[in-house]
Amino acid sequence: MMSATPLSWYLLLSFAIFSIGLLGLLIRRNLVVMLMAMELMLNGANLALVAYARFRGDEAGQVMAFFVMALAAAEAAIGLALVLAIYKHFKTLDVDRISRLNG
Amino acid sequence: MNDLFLLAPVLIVTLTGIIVLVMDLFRSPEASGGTHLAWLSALGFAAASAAAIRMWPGSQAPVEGWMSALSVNAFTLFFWILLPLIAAFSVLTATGFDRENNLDHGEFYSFHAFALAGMMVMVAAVELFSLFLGLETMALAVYALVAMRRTSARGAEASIKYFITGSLASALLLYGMVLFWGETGTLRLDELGRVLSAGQCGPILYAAAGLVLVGFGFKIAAVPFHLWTPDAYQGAPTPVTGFMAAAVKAASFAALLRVVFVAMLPELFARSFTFVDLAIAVAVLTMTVGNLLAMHQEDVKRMLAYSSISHAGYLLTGLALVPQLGSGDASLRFVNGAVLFYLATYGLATLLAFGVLARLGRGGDESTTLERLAGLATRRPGLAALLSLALLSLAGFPPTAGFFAKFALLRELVVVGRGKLTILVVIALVNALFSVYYYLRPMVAMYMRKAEGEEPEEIVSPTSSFALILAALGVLVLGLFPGRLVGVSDQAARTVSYKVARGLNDGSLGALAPFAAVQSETDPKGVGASAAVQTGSGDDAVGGR
Repeated sequence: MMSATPLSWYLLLSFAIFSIGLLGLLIRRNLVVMLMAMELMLNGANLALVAYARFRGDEAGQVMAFFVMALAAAEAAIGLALVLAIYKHFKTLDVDRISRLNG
Repeated sequence: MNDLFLLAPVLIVTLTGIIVLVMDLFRSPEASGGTHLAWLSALGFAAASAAAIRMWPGSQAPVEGWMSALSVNAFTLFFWILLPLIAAFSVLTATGFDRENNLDHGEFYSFHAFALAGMMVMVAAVELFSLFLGLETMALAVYALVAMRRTSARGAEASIKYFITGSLASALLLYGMVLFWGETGTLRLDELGRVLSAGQCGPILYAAAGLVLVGFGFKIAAVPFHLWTPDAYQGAPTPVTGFMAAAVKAASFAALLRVVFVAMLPELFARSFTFVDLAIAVAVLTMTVGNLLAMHQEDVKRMLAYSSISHAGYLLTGLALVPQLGSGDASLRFVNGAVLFYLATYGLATLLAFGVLARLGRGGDESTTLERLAGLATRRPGLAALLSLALLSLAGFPPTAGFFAKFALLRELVVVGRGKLTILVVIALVNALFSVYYYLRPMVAMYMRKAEGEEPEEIVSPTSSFALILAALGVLVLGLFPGRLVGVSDQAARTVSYKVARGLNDGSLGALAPFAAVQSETDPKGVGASAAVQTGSGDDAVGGR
């Protein structure tokens, strides 16, 4: 059954979530918040995927959404491990204060 | 079943990674040295490469497997041969460094294997989502490799910077893909190409193409998406930097070439003016900015990071190679063989350079600054000579492979560009000249200066020396006798095209393609002839399922 909400609404929402994630990643300086922003971006893409899948009647999109979730989990695992390593060495999560490499 | 045979090289690599991990479990904790693990993984990678060589030539009908997601043609096989060899050299040159830095565990080597498996899927993918999964498999393993030195604050910093930009790139790429899929109902590159060329290209599809290209821009470190590169390259363990500069870059470029040529060529190149100009602008910016910033670096590792950015610029001219042509000229719709040749030789020289740098400085203390390089020629003449050879090849001096690669690429720009790319050629030449300055600085330090104060020590590692000498031989042999590799890269490059799929002009391709002309000059034995005959078959874009 097709829902009454048109596809474009879902796409707008997905684009909004993606953009919030993108802006968050670019603007916020706390690593954990940046990781959350990253998750938002992936989830924005995921929402578009399942919305398209529903409206096209093509289940491939749902399958891809599962892959993206698995990937987001893997990324979060590595990201959090790195955040721990950063905290151990720098005692801060502010990206502006993490800089020992320079030219 | 057939599919499994097709994937044999990838499976061998994955299996190697698992075996290395399991073997590491049975190693007693006090046993020192993981050199046998390095050898084991290098052998596994070499076996994968050999399997790919056996599958060559990919001249038969396009072989597709896994629900048409992967295509095993000459282009794929070229990288299935090249990438495992790069990885094998890279783990072997890492042995001494790993011992000093307490990295010689199974994880270090199996992460190489998993990254490599991801790359191999990525270069074989003819469907965007598989490409994306391959890319992520590679990227996640490489993030871990960069952060492998647990005691190093710089390693952690490099890795988090690489991770954040890398995941940003992946997210952009993913969103672009989703839009492509939603609007066209397919993610197969050839079908996307067909839909896009049908001309119903709305703003959403343009946005999708833009997102995908920006994502790739991050991955290959094109200006203005290059800011992560110097930090990530400098902070990573030196052998891993070599692996990133050679293998990750080659795999990303291969995937980018496939996406652009098979899916986006008709829409973005054939009709629109701006994309061509944009590709040229990015190429020029990338090589110039990379070179300028490399000039005043005091750390050779960081200098080579900037140099890798400028090499990405030269390679990007390969994208600009297409569009200048008139619409009826089918030969110019191929990926240019010179680009693949450049990738292979650049990879080899970079590996050699980072392989030598990995030997400098003991006990986790990297001494890769110019100051610490002083007097290396008297302390370790062999290492100094190898590093010089690598730098000369990167700069493009005559007897080395780098010279021929630059020559071939610029020649293509002149011939294919038909004069319209002259400015690009001049800029590339000027850049190559300026780059000589910073490539010679380490050599001046090594040969003409004396070490001041306490002399740094170098790591002794026969395994690493063996691999370095092999790589050096490769650089020299490919410089003196490039014919064979030229033929192979030309054959491989031509299987990724757009127009041939539509049956334009198949017969005359051999005569039209300029890189074939170079090749028949340098290789009279006729590798070129066979390459010319096989064009058009094994094509990514051959229609229908």
